[in-house]
Amino acid sequence: MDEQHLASRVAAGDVEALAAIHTRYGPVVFGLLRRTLRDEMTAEDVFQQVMTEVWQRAGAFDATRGSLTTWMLTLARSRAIDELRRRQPTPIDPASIAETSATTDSDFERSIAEWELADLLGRLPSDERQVLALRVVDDLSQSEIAKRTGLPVGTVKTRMTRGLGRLREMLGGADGAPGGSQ
Amino acid sequence: MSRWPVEPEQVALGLIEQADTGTVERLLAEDPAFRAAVEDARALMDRLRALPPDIWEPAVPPPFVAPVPHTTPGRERSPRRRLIWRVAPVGAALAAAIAVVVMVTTGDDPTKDIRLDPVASTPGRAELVVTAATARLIARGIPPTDATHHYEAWVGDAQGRMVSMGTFRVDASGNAQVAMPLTVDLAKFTDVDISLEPDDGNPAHSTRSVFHAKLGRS
Repeated sequence: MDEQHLASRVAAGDVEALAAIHTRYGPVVFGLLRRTLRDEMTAEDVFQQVMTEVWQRAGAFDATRGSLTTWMLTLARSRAIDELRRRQPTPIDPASIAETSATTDSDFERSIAEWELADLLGRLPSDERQVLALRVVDDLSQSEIAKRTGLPVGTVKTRMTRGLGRLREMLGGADGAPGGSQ
Repeated sequence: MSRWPVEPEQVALGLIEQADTGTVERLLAEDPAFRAAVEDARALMDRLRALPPDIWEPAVPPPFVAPVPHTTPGRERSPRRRLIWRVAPVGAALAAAIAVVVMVTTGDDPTKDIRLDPVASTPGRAELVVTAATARLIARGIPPTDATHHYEAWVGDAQGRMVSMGTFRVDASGNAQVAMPLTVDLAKFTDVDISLEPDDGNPAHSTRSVFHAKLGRS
């Protein structure tokens, strides 16, 4: 189901469509909130606010202007800013929030870009994501990954290559069409 | 897989065997598409390396909570500034022609028809039929929304607090039928409002009301 249709169903009051959005986009939205707010319970509260807002505002989503992932992350960003501002002692100069906390636009733009990529990682088969993580995060060689996972070196190589290729395809840059990963 | 004997991703991942280095060097020198694909894959690797490590494992969100319209409180919004309802006066004939009507049917309550007055010279008419679970907006002949704006229906209380009922767009026909969840007890609110909202990510009321009514007025 395409994103516009999914949002339209939510706008029409379809609870199952909202549940599908929760399943599909919940992990990345909650991941952003948890990382931004640094508090699991607060992130859960704000996450529910975001889902309520999706329920109420799905009619405003326009797929020609961006993905549902980006739209939801932007909603999450706004609610996270609201929450962080509530934490500030009063009185407060609103401008100082942007200068002194993790709520600056550039921070959030970077954060949203990261979580958009995280969303794509979440769509990878877990075996491909696992070996890519060992390569990228733990900086292991293919031999070390083979030893760590018990997989043949050839399998490790194949999974890493496929995983990275799949990410490039999702970003629109695979098979010699650059630009998706820039 | 690609059309090359060596995958660009293998190059970006540093997985090239000694026996393939010559092939890779030749492709990089002679095939712009291969070179571009390798650069793209390397750029993606750079983005992956820059990710915080905890992002690699999907987070587990709280369980899905189905919205229950009559028991789940609506989202309250802080308006950009406190709203003071100012409905532009219009002639009686014009008001009758372009009225927005809200029909309320909640539980044991009889249906209520609430006429919303156009603010300024907003043309068109609309009907908002509210049942126990859902409000349905039926708009006729109101200005179409463009790529940067949408309409939003609200209820407000005497203190100027606003709760969104939902958003909708209107195409060139000027007509729309949109279902909106009814998540509040209307008895606690004094006003119904339809606003024109910019797609700026700000969830607060834009203060650009296009239709408005006092609740309880028949």
